[in-house]
Amino acid sequence: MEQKTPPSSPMPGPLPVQQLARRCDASTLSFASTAELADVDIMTTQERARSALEFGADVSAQGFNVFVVGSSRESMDDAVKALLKARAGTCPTPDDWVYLNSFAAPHRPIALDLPPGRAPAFHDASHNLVEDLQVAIPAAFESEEYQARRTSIEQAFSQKQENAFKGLQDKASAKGIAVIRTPVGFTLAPIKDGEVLKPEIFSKLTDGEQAHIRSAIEELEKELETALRSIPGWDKERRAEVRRLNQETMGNAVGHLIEETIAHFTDLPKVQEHLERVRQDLVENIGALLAQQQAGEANGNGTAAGNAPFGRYEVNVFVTRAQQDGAPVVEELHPTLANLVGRVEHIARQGVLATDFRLIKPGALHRANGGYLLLDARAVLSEPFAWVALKRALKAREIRIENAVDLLSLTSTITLQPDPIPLNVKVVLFGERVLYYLLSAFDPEFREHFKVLADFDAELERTDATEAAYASLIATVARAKAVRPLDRDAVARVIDRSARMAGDAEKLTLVVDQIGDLLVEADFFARQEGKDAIGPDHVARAVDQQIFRMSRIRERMQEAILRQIALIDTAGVATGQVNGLSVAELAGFMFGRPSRITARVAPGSGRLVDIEREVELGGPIHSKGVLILSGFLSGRYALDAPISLAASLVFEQSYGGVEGDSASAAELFALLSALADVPIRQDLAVTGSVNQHGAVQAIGGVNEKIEGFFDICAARGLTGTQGVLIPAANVQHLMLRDDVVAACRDGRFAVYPMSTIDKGIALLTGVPAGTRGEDGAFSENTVNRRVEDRLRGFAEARRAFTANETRPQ
Amino acid sequence: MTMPGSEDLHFRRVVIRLQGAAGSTRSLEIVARFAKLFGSGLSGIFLEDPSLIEWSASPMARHFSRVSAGPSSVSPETLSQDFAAAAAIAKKRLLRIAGALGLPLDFTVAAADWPAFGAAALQPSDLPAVVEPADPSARPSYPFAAILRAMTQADRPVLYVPHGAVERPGPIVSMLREDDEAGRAVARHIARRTGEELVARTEAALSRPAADDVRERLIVLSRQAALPSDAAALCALLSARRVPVFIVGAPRKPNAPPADERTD
Repeated sequence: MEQKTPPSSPMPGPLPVQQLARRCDASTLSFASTAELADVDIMTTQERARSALEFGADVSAQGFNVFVVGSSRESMDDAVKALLKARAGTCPTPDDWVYLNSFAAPHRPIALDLPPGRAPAFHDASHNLVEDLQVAIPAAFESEEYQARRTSIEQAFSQKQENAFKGLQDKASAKGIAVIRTPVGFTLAPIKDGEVLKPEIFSKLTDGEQAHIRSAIEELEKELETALRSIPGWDKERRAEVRRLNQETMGNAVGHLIEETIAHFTDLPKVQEHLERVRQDLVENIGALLAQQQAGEANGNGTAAGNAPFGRYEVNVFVTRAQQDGAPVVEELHPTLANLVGRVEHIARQGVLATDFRLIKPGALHRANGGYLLLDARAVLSEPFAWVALKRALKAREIRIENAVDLLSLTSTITLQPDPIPLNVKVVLFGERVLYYLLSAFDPEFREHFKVLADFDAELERTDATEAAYASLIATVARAKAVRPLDRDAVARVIDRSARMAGDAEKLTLVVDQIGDLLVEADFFARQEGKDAIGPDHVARAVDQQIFRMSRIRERMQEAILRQIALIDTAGVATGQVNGLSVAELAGFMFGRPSRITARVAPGSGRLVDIEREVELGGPIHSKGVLILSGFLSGRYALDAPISLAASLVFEQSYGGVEGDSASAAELFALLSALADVPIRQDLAVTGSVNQHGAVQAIGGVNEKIEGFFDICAARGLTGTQGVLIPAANVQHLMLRDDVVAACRDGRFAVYPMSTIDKGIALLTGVPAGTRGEDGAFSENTVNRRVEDRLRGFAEARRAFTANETRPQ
Repeated sequence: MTMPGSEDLHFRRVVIRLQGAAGSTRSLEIVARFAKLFGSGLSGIFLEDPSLIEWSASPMARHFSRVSAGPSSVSPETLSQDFAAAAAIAKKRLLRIAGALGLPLDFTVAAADWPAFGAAALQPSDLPAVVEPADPSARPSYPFAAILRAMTQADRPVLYVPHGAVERPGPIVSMLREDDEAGRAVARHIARRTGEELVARTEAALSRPAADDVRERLIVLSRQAALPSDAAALCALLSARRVPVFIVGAPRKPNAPPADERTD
């Protein structure tokens, strides 16, 4: 059943000037300059976010990491950082971490935690130990004592061989045989006069002499074999003796050095254990060490990080809190996989990539371990493997250094597998709301790890009290930006601008970054004029300049209208034609512009053609608005007959997309005008959406839309009749420019609020909308009556047409 | 070579005698640096024993090595190949050592009997150098034993570098017979050339360790000194001080008894 038509009412009158913009009254501000105002924490204006952050920062349960959403990244960053730093200062300072060589498995370096600030001392002590070793060990092994004992061992070994071969040689010489060293071994041959007997001479010897030589050689061969077989055994004994000597020498050389180093860490059993392992390794592996040292000297290189071969005893200070009091607050601006979880670096040595435990580098997670890590969510998601690695670390509660190349399985080179380090960090992600909701919807692990949402409001309720508080915020931002203080009037202008940025006279923007930019620009002009403080003119100029820089496209569009390229009338009347208003946003700059909307009607099947939709230039919300018009027409008119209307609606000269339903009221006016055959005033423009009952609803960008039409009218010359119809619900959003307000004050322009279509059509046509009387019919000479009559006419025409069509021939 | 007695001692080449058992690289480097110090060229003569190669055709000739379990057969072909391979390795080592010092090097493979000591390949201005093999079992064996004997009987100076010799700054120690004026001139010349002090000792001092205050750089020794004729004993004596030994003076007669003077 059709609801009762809203009662028709008189035409709306123009809004009083006071409602066109709410200007901050500087006299209510109790200071002369922002220099008098103390800093305020932006978090005081963000109760919801503040409590979320405090909860997230304090709760220790797994998964209660924080996702911060909001529009003002810079100020959010600063505020969150300040809050977390204050918290971190009261938290215990986390441990230092070092990586040590694993002597048993060098590819698996050992992670060792130390009390805060102790790692550098451990590193320095180990480094000093290494330096001492580099001197003490060669000295010990070059000492007379060592050399004498080593020579004695070598000589004893040589002597054994020499004795064996001398005895053999003597015995052989006595029998006229020589033991001969060939390039690869030994042989026996008869000699005479110091020369090997030639075979032809041997053959001339008597059988007895030959047999004697043959027998002697056979006998000596056995002894030669015995002597040769003895050599490996003697060599083994020699090596064992040398090893014992080396170990003894090493033990004596390094013992006191190790003891001295241990003495610095008597309270750290883990360090003591490591140093004992160093001692053991030194003693056991001296041979390899000396060989490496010699090779290093010969080649001019050593292990991957140099300092061979004693570098294996160095300490890699991975993370230290030496200069830190409390928990760390770390922000990683470039959260690549390596920058997050650390990396193992390599050094090219003679064409080969080498690495060791000293080349393990920490990531942000390591630096923030025990504290807070701040990350940009979009940046993390943009870096390959970073998001997955972050979640993996949070889930496992440990940091395992992963290499992107390994994750891709591109190579199979041996690299290090450092011990993972236990993770206890609170991650704070910053991002847009849409990112938060997308991750919530599509990443099943997201909510598991980021249970706390800190949602920063973009706006602040505007009251006298909050205006005063906002002044303090302006002062804080001014100081943060290192600009001049603002005088009271300048602050009032910034507050006005803030409300305009919020698009609401009752709100102030909390996108502090933009306020900061405005202050920097105003300060620029103040400096140009040599002023000590920023005044209202500087703020106004800054606003104008910001708009001027961004307004080239707007000016081109206005120029097209003024040159009659884009057809917009600002005077006269026309049937089925209305000035609609749209708003465009380019790189954050919004501006309004009028668009001509026309409607044509004819008898038809009840179809309302939205041409924008037909050619796919209209978005779904726009189409919805147009379809609502069908509902309105069906519900209001010709209740006893089907709607037999063919109507078309179009945004004239619109070649881009149209989206939103803010033109649906204008489209309905055009349609009603066409149906009623009543002309519409072209000196008025309309914005607003409409529902199926004819109520006009709020839209966005009301200020820009009004100013867009005003600029065209002003350029052509204000007539005093021009104005804009806006939804009454949007009156509270009005923060119009001074020139618009002035024109309205002078009666040269007007803004009309409308709550219903009937009020709007009356103003636009000068004809009352009309209400249904007791007889159920609209009053004579009203728009509604004319529309209904026209629709009845269409219905009858269609009926007649259909009858003719179906009559038998 | 100018006469040993001359103050203007000069060798055109220092000729290293090489054979199957090689000396250490460090010993070869000592020889090369000596050559550079004296402005000499470096030459390598690898001695092949033609008689031994011939003998290897005999069915009695068999080969023993540390790496094989038992004796293996040997033939002139295999032995020649072994000599050729050893000569190639020796040449490569010498080339690297000479190249590092910027010394000219010539290398020849000579078929020479042991007693001849390769004399045919030497020129009057050459200084032969003998490098003790690194393998202890090669020292009392032929051909090194024969080379040592020839060294004591040569009529020209010989530079002997024992295995494990070290290069260090220190005086030049002469151990010369009283009447060995030519040897004294050589010692003076070497001291002047090396910029070291010249310290005189009797020949008998060779058998005793260096005094703590005298850690010599090189010993100049009269060939007529109390050197044992036995190769192993001679090696041990010359190696005891672990420095190069420059042997000068008239040749010793074969099987001549050592001098019995033992004064210091």
